[in-house]
Amino acid sequence: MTLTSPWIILFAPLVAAFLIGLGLHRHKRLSAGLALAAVWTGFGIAASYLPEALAGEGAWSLTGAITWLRAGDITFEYGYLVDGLSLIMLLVVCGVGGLIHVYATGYMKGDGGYARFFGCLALFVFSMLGIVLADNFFQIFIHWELVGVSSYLLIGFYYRKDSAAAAANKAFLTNRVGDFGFMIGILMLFFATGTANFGEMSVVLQSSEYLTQPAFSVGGGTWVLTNEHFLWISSALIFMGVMGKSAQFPLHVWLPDAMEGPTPVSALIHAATMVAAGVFLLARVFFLYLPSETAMSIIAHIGAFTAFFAATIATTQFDIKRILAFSTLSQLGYMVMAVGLNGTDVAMYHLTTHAFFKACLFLGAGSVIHAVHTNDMREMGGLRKIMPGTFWTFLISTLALCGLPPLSGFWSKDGILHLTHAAPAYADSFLITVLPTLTAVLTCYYMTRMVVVTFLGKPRYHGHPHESPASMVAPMVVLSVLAVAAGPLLFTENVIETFRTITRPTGSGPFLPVHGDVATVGIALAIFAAGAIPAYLVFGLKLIDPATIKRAIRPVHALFDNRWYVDDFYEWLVRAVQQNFARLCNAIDQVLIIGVVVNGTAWVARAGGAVLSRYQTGSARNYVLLFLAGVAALLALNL
Amino acid sequence: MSLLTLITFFPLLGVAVILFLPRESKEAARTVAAAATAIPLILATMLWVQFDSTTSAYQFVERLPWIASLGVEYHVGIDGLSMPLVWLTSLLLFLAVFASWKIETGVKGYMMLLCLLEVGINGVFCSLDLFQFYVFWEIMLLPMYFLIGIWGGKRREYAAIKFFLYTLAGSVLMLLGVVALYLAASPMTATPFSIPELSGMIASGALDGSNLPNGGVLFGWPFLKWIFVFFFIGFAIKVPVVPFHTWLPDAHVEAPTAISVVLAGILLKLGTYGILRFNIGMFPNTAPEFATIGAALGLIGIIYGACVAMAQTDFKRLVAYSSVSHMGYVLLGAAAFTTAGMNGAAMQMFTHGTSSALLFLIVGVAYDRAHHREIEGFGGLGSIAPVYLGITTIGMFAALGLPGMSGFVSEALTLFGAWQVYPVMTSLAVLGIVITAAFILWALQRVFLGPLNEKYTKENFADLSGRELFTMVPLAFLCILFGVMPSILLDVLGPTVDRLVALVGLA
Repeated sequence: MTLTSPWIILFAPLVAAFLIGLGLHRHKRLSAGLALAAVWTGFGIAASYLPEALAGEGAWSLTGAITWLRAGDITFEYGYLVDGLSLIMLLVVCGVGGLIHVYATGYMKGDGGYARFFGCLALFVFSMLGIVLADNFFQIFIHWELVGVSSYLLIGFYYRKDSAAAAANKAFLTNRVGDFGFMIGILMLFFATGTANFGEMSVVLQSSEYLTQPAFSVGGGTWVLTNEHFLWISSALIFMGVMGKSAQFPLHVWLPDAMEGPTPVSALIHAATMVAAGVFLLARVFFLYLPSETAMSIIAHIGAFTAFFAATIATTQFDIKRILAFSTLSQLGYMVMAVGLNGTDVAMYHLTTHAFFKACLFLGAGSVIHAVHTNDMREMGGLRKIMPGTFWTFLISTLALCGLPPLSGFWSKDGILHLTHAAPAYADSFLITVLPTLTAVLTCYYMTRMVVVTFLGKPRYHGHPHESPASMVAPMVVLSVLAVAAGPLLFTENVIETFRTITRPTGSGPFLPVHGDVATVGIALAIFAAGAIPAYLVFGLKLIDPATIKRAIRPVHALFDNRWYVDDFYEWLVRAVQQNFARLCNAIDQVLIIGVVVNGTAWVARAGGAVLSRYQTGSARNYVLLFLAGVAALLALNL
Repeated sequence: MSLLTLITFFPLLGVAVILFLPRESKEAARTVAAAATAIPLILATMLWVQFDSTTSAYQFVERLPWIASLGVEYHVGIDGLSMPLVWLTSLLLFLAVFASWKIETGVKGYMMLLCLLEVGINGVFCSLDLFQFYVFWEIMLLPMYFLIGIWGGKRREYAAIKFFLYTLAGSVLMLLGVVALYLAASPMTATPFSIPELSGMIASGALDGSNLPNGGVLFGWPFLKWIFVFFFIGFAIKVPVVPFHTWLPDAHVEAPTAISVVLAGILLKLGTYGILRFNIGMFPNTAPEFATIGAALGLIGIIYGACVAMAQTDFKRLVAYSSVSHMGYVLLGAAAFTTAGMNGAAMQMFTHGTSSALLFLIVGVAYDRAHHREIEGFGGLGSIAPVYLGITTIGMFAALGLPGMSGFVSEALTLFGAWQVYPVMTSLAVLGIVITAAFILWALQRVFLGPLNEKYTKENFADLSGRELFTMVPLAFLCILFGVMPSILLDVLGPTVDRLVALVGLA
């Protein structure tokens, strides 16, 4: 294995995590410094590829691999594949990640687990970069699970808290449920194509002859499953992994609870990177989904529903981080839907802009929580004057999230909304044509509500909050600038087009540019007004009492407030079904142990014990001799 | 003298020395036992270094006549399948001495039995003579019986008897098989117990029992099929395969920590080793007939073991049932007769040996301090024993098959290998990784995370001692080492596994 630069990007954070774990954790500043150095090194190297990548359009790539293990006919490789798609992802993970590292040096100050935090963070970055760089399914699965465990460690960072430990478990286990499908999907694909490598697999799938060949036949050819059908089943199973990581309904339940982790973790893992891994995977293996309308349709519908579903919940929450978590779910739904509508490039663009403004929002929320020591918006209010830096960056990011022109969110989200109307196949699908736009309105509503309740109005906080230190505010400023600049202020439409070209997988559908024309801007403004104005009337001007609305739509409010009862349903499932099933198995075991088998042998045991006890001289040697004698006797008898 | 003979019998020297120690010299007995198990570990490490991993032939062979009238020989040798297990045995027995350091009653006897146990186990792995194999198999049973029955917990006698009876039942069937094979083979060769010779004759069709009365056919089943079943049941009890598994939780719960370590780490592997060595290696023509049953039993073990583990309230019982689940993978992988599956199975034997041993050491620490094993009776231990929490996290994640840990590689290989043959069963087996993750993480949460149970303080629940770390760190290291660099192990297993698969493939 020659030490080429992608290896350095990948392994620098692992080395940092390793050193911190092995003993450097006694030196807090050094630990943090190492983690920071590792992630910024990655950013630097990735940025150095950029000129070449842009010049090469879609054709540029760097590859390398080593054979990790070989067992007979199966070989697993460990490699890297840097192309436009993974390069963008590298820059997002290392760049946004690096900023969040800086923020964390301030946020975590004084925490007893300071070095442990940075160790886990470095481990996470390593795991995440492995997903980004992976060139085969096996490697991506390894890192998929490693991301799961580093997320487990970080969500459960305050492990003395019951809620944090439970949230960590929930995250890991929900992801494992997704990985269950993912693993079977990989097994099926490996079986069907004979390779786990993305490149080789896509070559196999491009042959239409291959697709019509039977993968399975049962009953001497009476029932045949062609490769084509086999592939859509396996790709749908792989999508289960995506649903776990990118928290799509119905595997979304872990993400809101994951807010138990320290806020930088929420920003990095649960907004900008880990949850985006699912979307990235879809883009990476888009060749799998392309031939299958069924798989694409599943993806589009689940994404659309998740987007709407999460947005409705966000409208009723009071925990500032949870609102952002549900908002993240909703935005991830958009991205997943976009992939399903054959708009991978737009999904990746939204992933990037979302990473900027959502990370900024989380960091802002962390800054507020840091100041007022609560997550509850009802105990905030009027923080605008006290925390101007936090307020302004938060506001800009909010507007970007709402898709207000000309901020970056406008370009990326409108790109997705365009897709929903451009797909003739879904023209009569309410989920695809209406809900995404409705979701955009809801987004503007709950975000306005949050800004108004947190920063405006009369102070309701306790104590004397103050603005966060520069180490925390500076990353927020940078991110909010990016949230603006990732729109056309920095990028001309040309650059955006190049961005999309390099992230668009081969075979992906026609490219739909977003224009800043009057109609588009007008619609975006209308959506914003439809959501923001009611929120401002209710929570800013207080013209309508929220309690009145709550009463008026009680059943709907209850549904949203209780997260559509999905969590309750799962709790019931675990408590009533799964635990009882386990008890049933245990009961069967008890019957096996005590009832049937042992009562039968008990008599033998008692009788045997009585005889044996006479020979229990306590000397092992006697026993050996006796036994050997017995063996010899038996043999002699048989002779 | 061959290295194998030295490794096998060296601990006997320890037995002899301890025998002549004065009754009250506990410390001396421990030290002698440590030395008597350390030397085989060093020798076994040399064995690994000198091992030629390019061939599937038996190595370090030594062959001497023993009981001439019966054609019994002293015949030892190892291949890629047995060598790592010999090393693992030597390691775990060495660590077991240190894990038993705090035993205060009957130290002399205990340590002698521990040394004797090592002789028995390594003897089994090295034997190439069926008679000798059987003798070692029985030798191993006795120390185990006494170690559980005398130094065990409250229901130790019950557990020991149960262990004894189950294993004995298996041994009797196996003995029947051995004798029958002898009767069929003795007219053809002067050494009718030689495992390589028997395997050769059976594979070539020369030995099929047709020289026996009725052509060896009994109740419509041919001779070899009966022998196969006898051996299989004998080994299946040891694995243990559901529904023969019920001795295991009792034996584990009552056994002292170090004995649980040896039991889970090595003794269970004797069962799967036997299945690979005999049921597949010796009866490659018969094995495919039972392949689907074997895979189904493996699947049942994986799912059922995990489900029962989920319902346990006793920490040690939970870990015991997790073994039932994990051993299911070995059966599933082996029954597929693909190289990947067989590699996975063979590797799982080793990786489960390290991770389950580590888990039992972890449970032992909690029991030592709290004198109970009820999961609900702990809580928040991580905040007073962070090092303990750290090691436990490694052990737990190794057990749930996290990538980067050895269990992942073996389970993934098993699944890849088995899927080609049993797609539906293997897909169901994947469910096992979800259930396993659930019960392991819930246990971790309830014992270590959350607010501290008021009963425990830094005074009455100290963090790991140096001695405890000494027993756990090597195992944790191995879990990671073989997870990151699995080829160290797979290279050794490779040729032997290929031979096994080819044997069945030829059939």
